[in-house]
Amino acid sequence: MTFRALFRALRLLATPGAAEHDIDDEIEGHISLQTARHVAAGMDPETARVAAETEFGPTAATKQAVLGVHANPGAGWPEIFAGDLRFALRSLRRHRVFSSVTVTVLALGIAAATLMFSVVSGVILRPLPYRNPDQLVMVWADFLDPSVAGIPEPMNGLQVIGIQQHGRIFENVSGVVSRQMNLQTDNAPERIDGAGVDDNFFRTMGVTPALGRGFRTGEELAGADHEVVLGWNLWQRRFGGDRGVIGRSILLNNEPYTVIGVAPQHFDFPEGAGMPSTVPVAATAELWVPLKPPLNGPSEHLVVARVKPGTTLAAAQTDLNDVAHVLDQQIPGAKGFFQMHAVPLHTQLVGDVEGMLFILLGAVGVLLTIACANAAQLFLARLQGRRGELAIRAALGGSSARIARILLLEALTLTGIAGLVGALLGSIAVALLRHAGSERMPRVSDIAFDGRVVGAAVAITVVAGLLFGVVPAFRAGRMRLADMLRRRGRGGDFGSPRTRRMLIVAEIALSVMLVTGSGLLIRSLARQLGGDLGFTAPHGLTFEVSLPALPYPETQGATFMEHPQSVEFFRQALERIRAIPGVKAAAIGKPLPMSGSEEGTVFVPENSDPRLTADGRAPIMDYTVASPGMFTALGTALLSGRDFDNTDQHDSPPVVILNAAAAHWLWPGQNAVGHRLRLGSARTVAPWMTVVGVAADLHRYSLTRNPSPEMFVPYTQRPYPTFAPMQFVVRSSVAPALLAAPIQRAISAVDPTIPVAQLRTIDQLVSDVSANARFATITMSVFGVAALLLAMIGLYGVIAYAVNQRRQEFGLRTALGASRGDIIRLVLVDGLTLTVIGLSIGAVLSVAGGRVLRSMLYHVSVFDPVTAGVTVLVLAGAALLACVIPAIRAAAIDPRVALEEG
Amino acid sequence: MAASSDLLQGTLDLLILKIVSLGPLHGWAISQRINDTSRQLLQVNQGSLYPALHRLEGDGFLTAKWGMSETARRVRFYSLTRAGRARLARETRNWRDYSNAVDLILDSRAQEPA
Repeated sequence: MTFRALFRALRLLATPGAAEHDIDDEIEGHISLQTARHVAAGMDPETARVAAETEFGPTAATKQAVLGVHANPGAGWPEIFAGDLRFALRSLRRHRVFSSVTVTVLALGIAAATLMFSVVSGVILRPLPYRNPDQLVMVWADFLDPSVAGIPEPMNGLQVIGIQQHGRIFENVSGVVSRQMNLQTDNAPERIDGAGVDDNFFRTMGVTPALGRGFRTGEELAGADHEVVLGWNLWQRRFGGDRGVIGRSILLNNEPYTVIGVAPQHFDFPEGAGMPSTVPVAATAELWVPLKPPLNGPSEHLVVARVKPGTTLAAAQTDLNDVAHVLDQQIPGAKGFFQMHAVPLHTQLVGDVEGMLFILLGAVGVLLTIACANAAQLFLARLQGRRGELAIRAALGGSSARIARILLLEALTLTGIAGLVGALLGSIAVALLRHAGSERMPRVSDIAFDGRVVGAAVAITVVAGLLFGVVPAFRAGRMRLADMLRRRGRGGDFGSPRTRRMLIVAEIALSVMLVTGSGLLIRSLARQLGGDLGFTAPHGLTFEVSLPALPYPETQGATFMEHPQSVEFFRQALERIRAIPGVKAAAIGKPLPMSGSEEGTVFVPENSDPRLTADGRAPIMDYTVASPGMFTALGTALLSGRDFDNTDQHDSPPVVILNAAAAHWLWPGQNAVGHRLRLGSARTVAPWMTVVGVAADLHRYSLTRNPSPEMFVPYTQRPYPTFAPMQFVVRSSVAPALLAAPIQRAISAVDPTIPVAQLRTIDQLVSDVSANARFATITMSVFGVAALLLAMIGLYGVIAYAVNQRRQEFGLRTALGASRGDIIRLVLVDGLTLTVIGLSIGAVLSVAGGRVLRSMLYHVSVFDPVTAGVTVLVLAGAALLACVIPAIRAAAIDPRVALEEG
Repeated sequence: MAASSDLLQGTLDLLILKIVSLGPLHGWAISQRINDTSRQLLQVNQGSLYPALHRLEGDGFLTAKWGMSETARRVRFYSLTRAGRARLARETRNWRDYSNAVDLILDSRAQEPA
């Protein structure tokens, strides 16, 4: 609206009488001039006046019409916009099929993009729910031993206290140890995963309990250590959210604990997702008990620390190096044993999935672009049919700018509707995802359809609308009326067929990228799942029991642990489980493969390569406790020697079984059976253990990490790790689900206070470890299939249109003797030419895009020939399918009819 | 004879712009000029003329000033703005294209075989 028009409208609004008077004057002027003309022609004045009034017509109506123009100044942009919008909506309603197809295509694209963004937003962008979460780091020990170098390790108490005492840049440092406790209530006992934490813990995390209080300084000292802070979910589940629970005594591990607080909702640190597979951490922590890091004892502490504000990671690292130096000087024999590194907590929790999520976000961007290109070319196709209408509008004074504006508005309206539908679908998908989220995906509960996601959905919608509307609008804006009319006959096009063809080539090229990406991920996942894991899944079941110190005490020695009551419990439990009908083998093993935990030990081999111990440090290998039958129950082959048996007792000669990697490492080229090794370093005096067997390597941590050297020791010979918790593996001839109840009965028969926990099939263990790879593969494949479908629908549209345009030509060719095959070939060549161009461009794009994927690929090259071959075949096949119907239709054209039409 | 007293809206705008482009005129003179120049083939309905004038003025294509007519009546003189001049050029081109195209189509039957 120009200022003048605005001013006029305002003035007229202010003084309507004046406006009427002005118009009356103007009309009166007209009539009097006409009267004067009649008089000049010789009419008498009165007759002339009547004639002039009659000629003018009803003055009241004219006056109303003029006032109407002013009351609704046509030049105002809101009115123009409203008018254009009305027009756009009317035209969209008229073309229902086009509108609904376009909305569907765009809505699916927007829904996928919204969903992917909500995942990235919740998992990565949203700050962790702690006070100043940027100040939180996790500190890990580094072993210098090459076999385990670069793997983050938990710390022993000495290191935790070392950082607390000597670290200069830390506000708070907390040691956290996984704890499993059996909660006894009137009903069945329940195993609860939690953590033992020092008195700093809640201060370090920057979390205030929702109810009650956290631990007081010094509380972990004797006398006050039977206190517990409950997790919110546990409080709701087992205590009905009763606020009176504070101060109440509950029975944990057969001992009374006083409830002193309830943690805030969603606080479940340490959560398992994101933690290294070398550290045993349950999916979520549901209770916290006080703990004082002991000066000796196993390396089992996760260390979480709050650095002073403004501290850089590099400064933290320097400080940690200083601490390590101090500790090395205090304990000279350690020789670099105390190396440590810090990882920001956010990186720790989401670092594993960050790259994957951003890649998937990029992929969904590609998919959305394809959807927009598809909508754009549908739009162009429809404009073809509307040329007549648009030409007439142009002739009637609709400027080409206005036509472009209307087209853009139509595009934005369609996208707006698609955005609403897409956001709705997206929010449903978010809810489903939260529900079905895997334990291994960090922060799934933080994924939400919140304001940020809504904002992103709006932005995505606007961008999509512009992307898909701008090309047609631009083409229309540049059109001259004459072109529209002149090309009204067949063979002409709105814009040109080139535009649509280019869009199709782009769609094919982009879909090649996504199809290749999903192909690579599928191949990679197949490699992971298809590899020899060293154990077999079918009919395998694992579970855990946690034996409380009362009545299963453990006594720590230098390189051994006494746990006679536990040993007796396992002996009886195994006996009863093996007696269950359908059970073929049962055993215990700690840790079992894929259960997300590790034990490692330093050791000294006898008669081995002296270079292993040349620098005075003992080498390290994985350390697993096993009962007789564990290899059978796991389906792991024994390569030589024997399994443990009932002759291996606490008073018989110590024995050990090695995996193939360890045997090859220590005594290459020899049979390891008969060799000896002992735990500890050269300075400790542990008894020699004789190798009695060599077992096949088994994948312990993940499907992708190569097995490390590993030793197995019998549970009966006082191995050092705690037996709480202990894992069982059962191999059966019946469906594992049928065994749950009999197994709980068997355990209860030995001790009714012990609950069975983490009951899972080996299949589930494997699928849990590969959950992230599976998520990426499935998501990418869905994108790939969608992209392929869109591209092929587009290709079909363009080819079918081209066939229609060339009816006459095909008719003429048939009339001149071309066979049906010739015509079909002509059409197919046309379609396949577009496909081949798209494929070639897509191949180049895929190579570029593949680099991004590289970190997610396991034993698959970006240039994987199988993937490339399958992609080409799939694309070519789909393109053939898309072109075959138009081709057959072209061949069926009756030459007479086609020529008559011309 | 009158071709049609109901001129298409776009066409009326074009005619007004053209007439006014030759010099400031009041409403009566504009309708006379259309009538005379088209040799009485086109007659403008006053019920359409005045709303059109006010609309074009509101759109910024015309400006208006009160003045005295030759009969000493108070009348509004309309003149073309810069925007109006541009619009006139565009509409003229479109009209020429349109009428040429229509001519081509109307003539085509006689010249081209089917």
